[in-house]
Amino acid sequence: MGVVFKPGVKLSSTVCKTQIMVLRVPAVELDISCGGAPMQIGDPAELGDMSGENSGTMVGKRYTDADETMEFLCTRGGDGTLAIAGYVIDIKAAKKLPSSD
Amino acid sequence: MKQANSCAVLSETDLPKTHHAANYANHLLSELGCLEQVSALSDHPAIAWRRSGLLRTTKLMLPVPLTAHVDGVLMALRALCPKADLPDSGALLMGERARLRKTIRNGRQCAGGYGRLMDTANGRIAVNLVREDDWGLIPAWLEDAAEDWDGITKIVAKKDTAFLVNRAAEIGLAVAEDKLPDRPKSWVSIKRFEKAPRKTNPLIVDLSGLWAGPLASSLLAMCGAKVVKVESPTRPDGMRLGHKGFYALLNAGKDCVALNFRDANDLAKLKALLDRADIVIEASRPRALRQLGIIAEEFVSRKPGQIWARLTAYGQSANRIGFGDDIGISAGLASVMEAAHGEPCFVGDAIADPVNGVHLAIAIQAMLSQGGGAVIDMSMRDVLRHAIGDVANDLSIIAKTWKAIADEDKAALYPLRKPQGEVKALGADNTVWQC
Repeated sequence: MGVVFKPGVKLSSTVCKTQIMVLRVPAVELDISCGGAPMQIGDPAELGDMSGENSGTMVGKRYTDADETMEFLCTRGGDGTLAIAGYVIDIKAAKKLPSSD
Repeated sequence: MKQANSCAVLSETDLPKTHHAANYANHLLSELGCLEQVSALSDHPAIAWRRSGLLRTTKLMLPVPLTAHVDGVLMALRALCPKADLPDSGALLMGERARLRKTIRNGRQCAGGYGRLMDTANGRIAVNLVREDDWGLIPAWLEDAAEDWDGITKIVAKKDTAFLVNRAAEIGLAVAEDKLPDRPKSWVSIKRFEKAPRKTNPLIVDLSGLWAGPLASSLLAMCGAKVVKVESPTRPDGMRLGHKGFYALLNAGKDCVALNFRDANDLAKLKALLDRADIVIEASRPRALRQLGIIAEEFVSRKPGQIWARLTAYGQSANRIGFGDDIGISAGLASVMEAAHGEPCFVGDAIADPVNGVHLAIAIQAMLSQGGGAVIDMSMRDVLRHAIGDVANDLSIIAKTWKAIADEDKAALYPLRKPQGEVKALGADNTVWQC
C-alpha cells in the first residue's frame, strides 16, 4: 500500500518520535516506514510498538536509498529505522563544500 | 547621530585619514579585556573601499565605515602582536578574492555568482545556492518545481518571507531576509575557563573550511601559531578546488591532516589531536561535533589554557547555515545600499567571511594573551552587523560625499599579498601528527 508524496511534506513515525521531511522522491507510490510501521502525515495520538531491528534516526541527517533516487531529512530523531518497501535507507554523505561562496 | 563625529576628515593632506579604525580597535581591545590601545590614523573608509577593490566589485559606494573598522581589527591585532608580520590593511583582505578572480556584482546577482536577491510577497530575500546539491532541494523548499533562477524568482514572489526563510533553515539552504537588524551590543560571547601560562607558539587545530576560519588561523600563524588544518577525506575544504592563488593566501604554510570523522579509529585520532591543541577553530553546525561526542566545554575543562573558537552563521542556538553573501544581506547591507542608492544589492564578495575572519583572530589572540581558557562563540551575522557600525539617516548624502572622495583618489589599489610557505595536499601531514 503506497502513497505518492510531494517534496516538502513531513511524515511522522507511528512507533517513535521520528519525523522526516520529503526532500526528493520519484513520482511513484512509496511505502515509507519507520520502526516497522508505515509513516503518516501528522503525529499519531499515541505510539504503537516497534518491530524488526531498529538503530534509530538522527535529527539533521539526510537519508537516502542505495541508488540515491530519493532523499529525506530527519527533522526529529527517534528510535526507529527508516525503510522504503522494507529496505532500510541510510544516512547520506554530507554535502560537498562549495569551492566558493 | 553618532555618525557625525566619526565621519570627520582629520588630516590636512590630500588623502583623508580618519580615526574610524583606531576607535573601533580600541573598542574591541577594551571589550576583550586587553589594556593595549592604539591611536594611529588610517585611510578614510571611502578610500579603503576603493583601494580594496570593493568599489569596483560592488559598483557602488558603501556609506558605512566597514572597511575602516576591519582596518581597526588589524590594528588591534598588531597592538597585541607588535612583532608579527601582519597585512597592512584589513580592507585589503575583504577585496582580495574578488580581485584575484576578477568577479563583480551583476545586478541582483552577487560577485561570487551563486547568490541572488529576489522579492517575496511581503519583502526581499537573498538565496545563495553555492552547492550543486542545493538545486535538488528547491522543490522541498518551495513545495513547487523550479528548474532555474527564473522559476525560483517567480515562485518566491508569491510566498511569505518568514515561510521561505524558516523552511530554508530547516532543510539547510542559505536563504536570508533583507533587513537591517539593530546593532548587537556585543559581537562575541566568551565563556571563561581555567587559564594557563601564555604560550608564544600555540598549536591551532583548525577544523574550519572556506574563508573565515582559515583566514583567522592564517593571521594567527603570522602571530606565531602553528596551524594544523583538519579535513575529511570525503569532504575536503571546497576552496581547494577554487582559485589556487587565493587558497594559498589562506592556507600556505599550514600542515594538513585528513581524518574520516565517521571512522571510529580516525575519530579517536581526531580527539587525541584536539587534546593536544592549544586553540581549536571550528565553523560547523553545533550538532555536527556534538553528534560525534566532541563537546568544546569538556575539552577546555580538561586542559587549562585551551581556547575553542566556534563560528556559526546565526549563533549556536539557531541551527541555521549561511555563507558570506547571504549573511551580508541578513546583516542589512542590501538595505543600506537601497537607502543610499535606491538599489538593493549584494555588497563586496562573501563579505561576512573576511569580516568574521579578522574578528575571530583578534578574539582568539586576546584570550591567548590572557592565558587562554575560553570558549568563544561568534555569530557571523552579529559580527558583521557590529562591524557595520551605527547607520546614519542620511545615507544617500554620505554615499555621494564618499564617492567624491574616492573619485579624487588616483592611487593604485592596495598591493595584493603573496602566499608565504608551502601549500600542502589533503592529508599530507598525517604521519607527522600521528593521524
